[in-house]
Amino acid sequence: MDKETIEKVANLSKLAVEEGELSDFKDELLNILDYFDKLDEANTENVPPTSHVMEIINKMREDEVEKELDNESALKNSSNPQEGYFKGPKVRD
Amino acid sequence: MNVTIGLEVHVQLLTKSKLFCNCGTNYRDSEPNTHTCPVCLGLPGSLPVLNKKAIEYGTMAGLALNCDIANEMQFHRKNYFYPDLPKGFQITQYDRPLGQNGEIRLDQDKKIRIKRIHLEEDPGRLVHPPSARYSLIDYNRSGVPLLEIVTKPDMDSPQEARSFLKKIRETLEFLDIFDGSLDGAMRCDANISLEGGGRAEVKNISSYKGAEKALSYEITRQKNLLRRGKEVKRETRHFDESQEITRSMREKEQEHDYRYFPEPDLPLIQLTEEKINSIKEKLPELPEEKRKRFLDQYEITKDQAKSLTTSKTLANFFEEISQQVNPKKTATWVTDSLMGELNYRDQSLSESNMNKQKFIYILEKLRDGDITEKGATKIIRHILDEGGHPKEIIKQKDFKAIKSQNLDQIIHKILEKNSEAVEDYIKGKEEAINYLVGQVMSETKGKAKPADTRKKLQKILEGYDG
Repeated sequence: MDKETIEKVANLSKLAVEEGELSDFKDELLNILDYFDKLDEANTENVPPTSHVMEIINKMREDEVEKELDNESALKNSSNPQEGYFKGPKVRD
Repeated sequence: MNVTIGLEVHVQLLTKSKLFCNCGTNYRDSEPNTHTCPVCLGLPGSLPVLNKKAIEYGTMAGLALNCDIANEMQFHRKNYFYPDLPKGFQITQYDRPLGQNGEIRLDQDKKIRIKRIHLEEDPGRLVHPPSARYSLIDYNRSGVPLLEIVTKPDMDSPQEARSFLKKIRETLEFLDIFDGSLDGAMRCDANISLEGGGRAEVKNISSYKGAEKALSYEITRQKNLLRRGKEVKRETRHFDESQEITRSMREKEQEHDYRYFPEPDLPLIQLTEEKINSIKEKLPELPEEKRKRFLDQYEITKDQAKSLTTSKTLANFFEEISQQVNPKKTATWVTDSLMGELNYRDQSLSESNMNKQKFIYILEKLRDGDITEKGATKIIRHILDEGGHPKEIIKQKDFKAIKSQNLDQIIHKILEKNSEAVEDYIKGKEEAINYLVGQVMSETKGKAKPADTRKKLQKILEGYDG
């Protein structure tokens, strides 16, 4: 696994990885990939892909409006509310 | 030069509640962050539960767009990092969408193939106050159900793209699952390329007028590059609606690495053939079917049938009035007069001051000869501009048609005043009568019927001759 790949994965995960940590991450990621190789050994030829461990289907709800949070509660965990909005760094120039 | 256009259209479905939670979808007139809950705010531990109605509406749309509806579908997480998505991913459909392989036909029978349609959640809304160094986020829109419609690259002009969007709007509105008059209810991205050039993806198109403008701009831009022997780069561009131009968007290549994976919090959805058929049976009459029926049922022209079925409101308006007034007359007055006046004012029928009762009143008065055609037009204009009931307007504005004996008097007065024209007519200059009719019309401010006036004039002038 090259440096660029590790940097890319870190970037997609929004993790700041310092130069000195790269080799540690490399080892850990390779371990995980090895584990996937292990999984690949299982014969899944006639097994349909599983995306859910529980065999439930069509769990749906009726189209009804129920209690919503008021503005104050919605913003309660925000460190930076303003005029009823969540405030964050500018995302477009 | 060959132009190739494909569209990705996002439309909001008219469910009462959001796609994965019970929050309301009427965010437009609301204060920010007043229609949220832990699910649509992406708080840890919250779990999405799918809205049954959204699947039903999506299936209706899929059937109306002639798609194959999936018997089994699944949701995926599309991961990207942007503050309009509080969870850090959007729940959408990936390789097992709701519908595939559809098609619709535009006028002149042009076929546009639909690659797929799928359900996904609308992100929140970002506000960028001018000159501020921050952005504000409102999550009221977060989780509103969107139907994405992806076409094959089958359109070859901006006009065709516009027709396609209009057709989609028309169709979905007939199903009562979409309201195109709501701001931002339809948004689209367009892929466009010219023969021998790379493909540009244009984002941020929010109306069909905008689509036509953005695409026309792109054609000019790409043509100019190719003409000068330059390369048309494959890139994403942003449409600036106020300036009607597209701009290159700087983006990192990783942004497209969405790392889709199955949404573990939502189980599979199965739609049996029975269920699909029961939705199919409940589908209302679609524009194309209505058009054919109108043509068969009423004595109206092809063009009239076409204009009357451009919206459900209009079609119902026409059909309900036709039960009381002659359908042919109704069709003419609705398509020629009312629609023209509405277009001129950039109003839609439902948001205008006109209603069925008022229109019936006008047409009945016209039929009974109490008002002239010109008067009727003036009354329609008055209602659209200032409101009011035609009964009052006729009284106040003196739009009542002139009575026969009064018209006689006026005609005699005009004849006395215009002896030259009278002599011309007697000498055989027949067009002189047009001038006299015009004089009577202006004297009566349009309250005389031109045909009656002409007849009366002819009769009197013949008497002069003898």
